[in-house]
Amino acid sequence: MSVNNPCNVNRECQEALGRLEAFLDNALAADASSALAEHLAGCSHCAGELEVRRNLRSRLKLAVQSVDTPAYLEARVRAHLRSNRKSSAWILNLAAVAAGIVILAVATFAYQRGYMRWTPGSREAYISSVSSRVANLMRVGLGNHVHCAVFRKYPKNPPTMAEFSATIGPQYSGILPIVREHVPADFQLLLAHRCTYRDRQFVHMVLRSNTALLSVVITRKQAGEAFSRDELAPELSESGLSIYQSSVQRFRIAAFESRGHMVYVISDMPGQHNTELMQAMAPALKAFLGRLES
Amino acid sequence: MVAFEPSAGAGFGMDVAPELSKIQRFEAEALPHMGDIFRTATRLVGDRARAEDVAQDVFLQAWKSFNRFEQGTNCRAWLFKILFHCTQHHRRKWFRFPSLTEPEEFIEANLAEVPAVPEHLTDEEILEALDRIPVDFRAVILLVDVQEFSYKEAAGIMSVPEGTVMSRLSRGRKLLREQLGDVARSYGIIRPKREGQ
Repeated sequence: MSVNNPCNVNRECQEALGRLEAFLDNALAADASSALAEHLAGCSHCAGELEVRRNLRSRLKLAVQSVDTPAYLEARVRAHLRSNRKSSAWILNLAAVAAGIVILAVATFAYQRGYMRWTPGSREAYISSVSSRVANLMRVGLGNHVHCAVFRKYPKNPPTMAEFSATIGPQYSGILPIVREHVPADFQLLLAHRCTYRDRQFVHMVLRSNTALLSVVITRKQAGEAFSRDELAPELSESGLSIYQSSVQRFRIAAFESRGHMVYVISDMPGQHNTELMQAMAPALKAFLGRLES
Repeated sequence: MVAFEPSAGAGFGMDVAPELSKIQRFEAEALPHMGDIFRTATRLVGDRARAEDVAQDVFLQAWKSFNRFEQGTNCRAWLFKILFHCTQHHRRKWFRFPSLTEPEEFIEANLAEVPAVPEHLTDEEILEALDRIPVDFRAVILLVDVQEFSYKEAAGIMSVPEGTVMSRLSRGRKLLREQLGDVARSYGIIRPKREGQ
């Protein structure tokens, strides 16, 4: 229906006017939109109203857009993005350098302490390095401990005491119960054998707790060897038994001698524990060796 | 609804190359909307200096959350949502008055005839008329009539139901026409209303 007289707005025009804004917003359903378009095509009054509203929006849009945006605003945001990237890159580089230094320091420290020695040459170099800092006869036990006990991988399930007795041989198997009796119960016997290091034979027992590795090392004296001649002064002398002690890096060494043997306890137990253990064990060991030597 | 919540919580990427590519993507997708964001902020907070602060905040927050922005979705709507979040924050900070609450069921029948906007009115006069409308009505006019968002998009940006957008829009347009009419009458461009009209 066509209504050309504004003073004679009928119901159809009222409905059309009520939908003009939604029509401009593209929010009418398709059939309602085409019905309104059909009405507008024939109604100059409603078409005029549509044009007024469209013009109002257009003027409003232009007015809002007439406000200029300061150029420095975008420049400020861009600068923030770049500075943020630079600072995060700088922090990243610094963190990488710091991490590198820490890793290098830890690796160097560990290497100096005998860790990460994966070749026989580097292991021997380490043994020579620590041995050079103790007296000659102390080196004998220390060298065997580091060579045979420290640089070794142990099986998860060690052999039984009977198997160790067989390995160590009938001559020295009596030492095993003495060691087992005196070493604290949290130490597990990992190894008991005879070994050779630097042309010298040893009877060697290795025990380990959660925090320490311990060796009991026995070797026969060679010609002219005696702690008393090695510029060593006994640290403890009880019941006619002199105990010598020394330490280097984490290793604590306690030793005594019988007529024909030198006996060492070497471990990384803290404080005086290593010497105390030797004190407790030495009389029984000396008695055992005395019987062997007579 | 717009799918992204503005947040300042996202962290920075740790790798430098992806960070650079992120900057380039942000510059390409977000920064072109700086003008629309600033102009809308100006109308919402009514002060150019504050609008600069708000616009800058919008882009800094958008940058922090950009990792969570899905490529290919509506970046412009996402930025406007952040704008309204920032504007609310600034309004609370500056004015300490609550937002307008109007009955949600209010739907203005849009039957009144609209006076033509006189050609003689300047942009400044139109903007003054717009600025006199309560901010919640002004906001929806800016989103739908100026920025041409759909009702659905505007509802997402303002975090209100679509029906609220429609009712505020209807009411806001009526108020704007009244304001423009007052300006026009003050200039003698259209005749004063007669009693009972």
